[in-house]
Amino acid sequence: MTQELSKDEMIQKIVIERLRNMSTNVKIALGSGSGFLNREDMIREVSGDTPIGKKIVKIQVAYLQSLKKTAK
Amino acid sequence: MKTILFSRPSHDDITAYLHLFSKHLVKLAFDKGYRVSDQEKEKANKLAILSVINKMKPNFIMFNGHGNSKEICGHNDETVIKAGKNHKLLSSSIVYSLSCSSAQELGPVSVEDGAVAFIGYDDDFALGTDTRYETTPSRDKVAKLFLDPSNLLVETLLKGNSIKVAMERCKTKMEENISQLRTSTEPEAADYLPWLFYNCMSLVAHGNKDATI
Repeated sequence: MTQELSKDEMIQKIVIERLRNMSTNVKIALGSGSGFLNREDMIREVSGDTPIGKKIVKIQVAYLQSLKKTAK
Repeated sequence: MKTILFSRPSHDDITAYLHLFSKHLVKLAFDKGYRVSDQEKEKANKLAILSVINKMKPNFIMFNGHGNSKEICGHNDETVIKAGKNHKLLSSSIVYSLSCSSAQELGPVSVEDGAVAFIGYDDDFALGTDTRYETTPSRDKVAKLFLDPSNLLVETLLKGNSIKVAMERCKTKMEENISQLRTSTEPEAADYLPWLFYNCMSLVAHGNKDATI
């Protein structure tokens, strides 16, 4: 029997898949405490639902929502 | 003579990038005839910066470095300005802060207590880099895409334009860079888009937007 995902879990999965497709050449510094994060660092933060992970999700979702607005 | 204060720590990877990419702003300020105080690296400490603010009452202050919604930090992440503690020291100045989220709380309260204006980000400022240029950051075109708009904001102010004009040029530059990334054939270009987009959304200005230095 498959377990239904909550909306937040679904969003987390989508963001993690997006991050998995990121280039290994990319590093992002986000805020004071994180240093530069590579793809694996970001996946770990999002998977761990850390404050930085939540921020990454917020930013990715905001961007995806902007694409939806642009498409209309 | 009008005075410009730069706080440019360089104690970690992130502040080192900000320090490197803001170097030309100090020269521009000198060239434009301002009295300039460049508190860089270990000189970007609380004692030195507050001393300059108290003695010189800078017309414009640029803070690089880390921070949060209530504070701006300097060398080794020492708190330099904190809302509710010493934010009134920013009175009579135009402030531009790259410190993450400082425009969220510190910005408005500074303006309420006399700062001419506070320009900054009401959320974390993201900085993208290309790992292939880790040892030669000055050649990192990705970092340039993120920092050029910020630098343009300061350049525009140093050239005598209003905060409103500086903000418009900065956001236009961010949008141009976003467009550049969208149409780039480099496979990783799209990976940087969400972060640059968020910087664009987070940039705000409190206070008198018609003010000039």
